[in-house]
Amino acid sequence: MIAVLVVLALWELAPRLGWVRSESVPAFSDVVREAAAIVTRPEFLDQLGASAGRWAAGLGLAVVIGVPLGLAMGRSRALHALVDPLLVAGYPVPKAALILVFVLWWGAGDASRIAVVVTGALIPLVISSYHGAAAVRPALLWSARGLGTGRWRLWRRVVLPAALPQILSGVRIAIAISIFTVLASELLIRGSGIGAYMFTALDNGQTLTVFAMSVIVATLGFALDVLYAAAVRRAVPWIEGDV
Amino acid sequence: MDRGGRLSAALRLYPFALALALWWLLAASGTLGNEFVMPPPPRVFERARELLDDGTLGREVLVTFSRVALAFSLACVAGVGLGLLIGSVPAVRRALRPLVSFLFPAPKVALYPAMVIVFGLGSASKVALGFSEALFPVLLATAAGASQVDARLRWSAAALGTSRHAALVKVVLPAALPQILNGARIGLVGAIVGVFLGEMIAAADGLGHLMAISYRSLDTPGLYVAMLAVSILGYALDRAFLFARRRLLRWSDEFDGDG
Repeated sequence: MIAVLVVLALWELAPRLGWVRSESVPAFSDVVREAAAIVTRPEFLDQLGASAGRWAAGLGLAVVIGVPLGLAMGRSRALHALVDPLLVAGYPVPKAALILVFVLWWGAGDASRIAVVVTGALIPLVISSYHGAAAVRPALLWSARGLGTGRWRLWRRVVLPAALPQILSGVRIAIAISIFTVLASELLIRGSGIGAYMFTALDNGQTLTVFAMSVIVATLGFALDVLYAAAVRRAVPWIEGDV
Repeated sequence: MDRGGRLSAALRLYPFALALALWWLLAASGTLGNEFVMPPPPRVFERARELLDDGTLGREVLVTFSRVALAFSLACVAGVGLGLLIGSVPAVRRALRPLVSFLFPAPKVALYPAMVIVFGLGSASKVALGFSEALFPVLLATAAGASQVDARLRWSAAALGTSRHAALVKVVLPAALPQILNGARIGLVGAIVGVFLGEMIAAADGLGHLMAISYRSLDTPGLYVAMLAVSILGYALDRAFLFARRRLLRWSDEFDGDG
């Protein structure tokens, strides 16, 4: 905890002692007070709800598309050869920037915003599911088949559970990326949502609000990550190592 | 090049042919909208030509590239340095662990408005966002790699009279290199995405700015040019990185030869 305390102490002292101007970096205690005030405002909760809805819809769709695709790639060489180059080519594209293109196609509503979250979260989900399915020990498949397990049951009872640890850590990455994508797309095309709320504060020169929003959003991202890891540990106790 | 190599090269290029064909089809059919929202490829290439000829495109690519290079180099230096310490010195690990696990999952773009306030509208805030996107993949991969180094390697080095300090650089660093480079590849893409988005949100130059300004001035072909340019830049940097990685890891037996 030492490093955290040192950082926070510096953040508190630097503006107070005049090392940085308090108009550009407000002291930590002021930021926390402002953050506490913001989270109780109804308009903030409305914006949070708008962002959270898009985030959940986009992430859910990405899981529904990405996980089966990745698992199938892990079991089929041909499919892997076909899809993998697409992933390699799409990987370095800044997905959040596609919001401008999607807005041209589908307007500035939720459809474009959800679509951009899906594109952002998809690749890590496909790749981790692929690695999970490709690493299933052939002996497991042989024994299951030898015992007369059908195709569908083989997927449900052998491939999916064996790949689950990898899938779940892919979801963890996708959670972080999709939060990033939602925020970035809201910063680029205003309207409703947390990102737009934050940027309005920047435009109005409300430095304290900007810092408070950063702290709130960073804490939300961290809290989601911790909750997810804890939920996975509870739900799937047999996973070894990190989630 | 043998037949397998040629086949894999063809496979690597097919997404671009597919994207081009799909783009052409969508533009011709008007499924997504008229020529304004979905200009056909020739219209976009023509615009790219114009932007190349008046020097805009080359300049913006260079600006973005140098910001990415700076953000990525800084992230590598800081990430590898801190990662080695966290991975091999328990006291440092205990001190920094909570900070890292708090900041790693936090969406860095949420800090961007604060970065703009602190670093201004110039290059520094874009480099800061690229850096913060690139840092954690490098740092965490280095820490993981350094903590998994075979203890016998360290013992042998110590027995042969290598100081702890020198062992960090001469033993731990090379042993962790495969993992470090895997993290650095993710970090490189993070740097590109961070710099580009920073430029889109608030900047006066760079490819991201070109995209944002084209959007605002209704120059849709220009918007597609900027999007294509950053994608090509990202793809080229990723490929160059994989090439460098293959050279650096030629000695390593865990190198599996993919990419």
